[in-house]
Amino acid sequence: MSKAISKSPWVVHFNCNSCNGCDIEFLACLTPTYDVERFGVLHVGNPKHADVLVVTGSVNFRNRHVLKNVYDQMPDPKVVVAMGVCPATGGIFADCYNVVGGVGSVIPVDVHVPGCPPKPEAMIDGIIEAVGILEKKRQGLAVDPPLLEVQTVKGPAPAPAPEAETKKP
Amino acid sequence: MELLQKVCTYCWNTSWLYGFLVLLLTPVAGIILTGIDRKITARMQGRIGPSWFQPYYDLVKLFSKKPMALHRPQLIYATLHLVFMMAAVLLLAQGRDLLMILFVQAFSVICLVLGGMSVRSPYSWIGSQRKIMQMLAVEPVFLLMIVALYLRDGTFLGSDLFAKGDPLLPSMPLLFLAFLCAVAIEFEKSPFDLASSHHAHQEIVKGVTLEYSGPFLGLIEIAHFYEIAFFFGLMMAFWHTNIIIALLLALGGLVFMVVLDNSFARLTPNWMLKFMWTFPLSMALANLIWLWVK
Amino acid sequence: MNWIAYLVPALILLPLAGGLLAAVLPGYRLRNSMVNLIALLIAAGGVTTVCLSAQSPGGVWTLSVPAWAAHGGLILELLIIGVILVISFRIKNAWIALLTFLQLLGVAVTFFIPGDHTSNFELFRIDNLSRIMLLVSTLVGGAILVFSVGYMTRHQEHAPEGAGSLKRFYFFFLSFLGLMIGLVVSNHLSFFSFFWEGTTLCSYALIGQDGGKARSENAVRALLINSFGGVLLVLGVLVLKLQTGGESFNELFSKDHYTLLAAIFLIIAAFTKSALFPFQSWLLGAMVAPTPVSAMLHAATMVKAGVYLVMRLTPHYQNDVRVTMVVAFAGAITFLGGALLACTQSNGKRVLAYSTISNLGLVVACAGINSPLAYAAGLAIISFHAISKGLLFLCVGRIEQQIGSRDIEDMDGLMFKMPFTSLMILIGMLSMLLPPFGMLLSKWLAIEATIRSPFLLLFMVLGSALTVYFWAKWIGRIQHSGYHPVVFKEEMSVSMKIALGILAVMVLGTGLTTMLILNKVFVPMAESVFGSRELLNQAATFPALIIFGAVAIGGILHYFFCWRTFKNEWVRMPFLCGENVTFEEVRGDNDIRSYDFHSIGGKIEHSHVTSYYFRDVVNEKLVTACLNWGAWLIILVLIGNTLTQVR
Repeated sequence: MSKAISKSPWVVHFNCNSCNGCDIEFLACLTPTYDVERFGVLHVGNPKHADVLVVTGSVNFRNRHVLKNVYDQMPDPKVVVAMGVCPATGGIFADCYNVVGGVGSVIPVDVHVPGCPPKPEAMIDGIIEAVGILEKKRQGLAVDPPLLEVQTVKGPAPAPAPEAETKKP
Repeated sequence: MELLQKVCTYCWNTSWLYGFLVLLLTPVAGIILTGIDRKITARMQGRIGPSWFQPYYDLVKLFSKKPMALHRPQLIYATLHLVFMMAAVLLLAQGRDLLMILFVQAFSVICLVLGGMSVRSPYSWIGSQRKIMQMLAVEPVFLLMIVALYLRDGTFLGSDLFAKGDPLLPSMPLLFLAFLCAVAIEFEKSPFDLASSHHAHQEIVKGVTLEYSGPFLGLIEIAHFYEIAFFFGLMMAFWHTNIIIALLLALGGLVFMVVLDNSFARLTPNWMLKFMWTFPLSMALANLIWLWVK
Repeated sequence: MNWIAYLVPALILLPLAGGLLAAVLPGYRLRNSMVNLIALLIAAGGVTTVCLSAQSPGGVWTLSVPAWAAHGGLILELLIIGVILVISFRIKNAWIALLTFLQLLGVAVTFFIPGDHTSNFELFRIDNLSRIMLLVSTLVGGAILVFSVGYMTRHQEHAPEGAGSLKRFYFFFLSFLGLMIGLVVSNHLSFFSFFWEGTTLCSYALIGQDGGKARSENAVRALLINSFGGVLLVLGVLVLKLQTGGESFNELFSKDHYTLLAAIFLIIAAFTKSALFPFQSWLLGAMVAPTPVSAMLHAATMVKAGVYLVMRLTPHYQNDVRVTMVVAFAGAITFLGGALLACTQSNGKRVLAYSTISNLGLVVACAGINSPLAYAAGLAIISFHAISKGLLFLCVGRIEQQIGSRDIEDMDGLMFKMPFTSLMILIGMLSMLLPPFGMLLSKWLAIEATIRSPFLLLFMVLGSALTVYFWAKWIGRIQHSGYHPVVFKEEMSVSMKIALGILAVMVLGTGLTTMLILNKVFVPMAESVFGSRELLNQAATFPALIIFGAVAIGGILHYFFCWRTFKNEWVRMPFLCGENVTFEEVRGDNDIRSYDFHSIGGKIEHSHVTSYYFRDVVNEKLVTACLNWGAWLIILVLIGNTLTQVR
């Protein structure tokens, strides 16, 4: 009974700023060849029902609050899996004027799956890894990792500040 | 010891213990049926699929999550949804007035709708709108079915009905087909899975249950298990004289719905309403008139 | 008990006198307290009359008067028809003038037909049906009177140009109630016609209360349609007198085919009063009146008079099944049509109006089915509907006064803005569809009673499904609210609060004891009317205990595990694909109808999702036209069918 959470991880998939490579590979996990539902993984479309947040792509200034909101709307305990290089460091987009960096600078990431894109096997492996952390979090044995520093090669170019725009009706 | 025996006899005779057992076992039946459903779906798609007890794991997991809500009234409706569904199952098990049982079941669904409407979320709102459209589509069929039962056996009481000798299916085959369509709507099967879907990636996300999460979603899941068992029981009632044929009939109905689910795309609410108010309704009415003339 | 003989006339005259007094009393304070006092007296008097008359032998209390008193009724009737004639000349409406003239002619002819002008006759007769109607009129009517004190004071401050004075309003409003009480107790048809025409006149005056072109047009339409009904009523009385020489309900029930013809004329007259299809347009137009008037029209008086007449007549024609079945179809088509059109409305008052029409249709259908079970269902619907609908109308009026709109879409999130009124309206609407409450139980009885007629049943079943649809939509809209836990405190006048509270308590009280009321009150009544005891072994087994028990256990568990432990940190924003706008960001923005989200460049966008009203499928005008056509057809069939029976 206590292992139930590790037998039914429901996943929400968030495409942050990705080139869609990782997303295609991730959706391949649902196909008969890989069939993640074997492990009880369900791909739910929303954070409110999800236990695992799968993020692909790097974070930019426009969608960092979106990522934060989606993360906040998941009920505890929850884990975050960063799929690919981009959500880890910003990947090849790290130097773009609008890119903040890796996902870890906005929300705490529990598992990083390397690759560009990672193979579906690696993705499944990452999710199973995350499920172990999820179970530990439920028992209070694990905590969220700290947020990462924003690491970019050069400082971000002046992005359109959302706050200034909101003042207009 | 004697006292215990006395209490046990009393409970058995007054059917409270029986009712309690029914309430306890019905969700188990619902879990098994849902498990079968998911397994068949997976095999049809060439997958291995989840474990047979996956719905049970899902349920336990939901209750181990931290609660989350938008406001208090939302949660009341989740409880009411479950309570009225349980009442409907209990009444059915006790063989009460079938028409009233269906009204209670309908009100349980209304509670779910109201819960979905009580939150300021566009997906949930649209899902609720569609859910009441679904109710509008299925209610007439259900009511006509009960009325046909009355015309055949002269009673609304479930207990009297099941005491009668011959099975229902030979005298109401058209109604059974109409009933299957209606149950497919209640189970949220394609092409009728408009309000909420078991599969992701739909245009209104999770529809009516979207804003429930954790334990409260668990309550709704339990209510769904009750609902599945409720309609499975009604399907079995079409051949109530022989338990094996009844089980086969109801399982056949379930498999039919799963096949339907996997071979159709989702269609629009208006299409559903038009469809239900034409073909199944006229089939039900034809069957009714046939019984009336006889 | 002798003094009930004084109590009944007093009950009729008290509101009439109060109306006159209100017209002359200076100052609003005095008038308001007088209206409150009259409401209290009427309610107390009504209950007393019901209790006293129930103790009479056989449960029927009658008052016989000498024959000359019938002239009094005739004079009153002529007087009120004369007033309507004058009005028709003043508003220069030839049709009303013609119809009124026909009535005058009919009454005169009736007078000169030789008949029994010597023996005593029963002026008042209070049986079970009258008692139910008395309770409905006095209790619900009293609550509406109390509400009107608070409502009209504020209404008058914002009244449009050309609106009538409060004196005028209270004159007609109080008279309305008095006339209705007279209508349900009188047994002589000329008195009955006087009260009937009197309510027509009062409704005309009250619909036009606020002045203006649209309102007076609607008032004229109400007068026109009801005058048509009046002609039929006079015609029915004429046929009756021609055949039997008498003019009271007692003669009507003598088994004779000509009295059946008279009864059918009266029933069609009742259709106009009860706004059944094809006569529904006047009740929809009547929505322009101030809300207490609408509540009075729908819950306590006027439309209830029509179904009262039908309920009174049909059980005496059990042998003419072919005729009463047609009446049942006229009711059933209204039930379905009203429910269907209610689904297409977003105007709250129109939804209520269509729902009233629909329920009246159901009552008429029950009366037409003419079985004890159906009769009991009809009685139950009349009484439960009156209470719930009274509450709903008053709530909508209150909401309209507060938010300046009666559109359902504008009532978005009212649960948090007007908690008290919202709670009341929720109680009212839930009582329309929640299982232990009266309306659903009556509908259940009605369906079980219709069992022998599949086509009628189809109407019932479809109508009942549609009913759920529009109520659920409305409830959802009222409590549709955001995630912020702010609850406003509601300011409202004491009289409104008391009236709403009384009605809500009545709704809840009758809801909790529905089964008891059905088994102890309505079923014995139906049995005594039909003289048979073959029914309701079914209804007796209604599992009220299980439902109440389940709700109670669920409620207690919910309270301890959910409501009490609810913490603010549970509260999260709804799912909007992560583009949520926080409450702080829109605090200055009053447009809380919309779902706000961030769009391109962080700009805040508003969006709005409305309910679905079948606007693309159901064209209200077209459907109304079709239903009217069908209803006219049924009425023609009704008359033709009766005529063939007579021949």
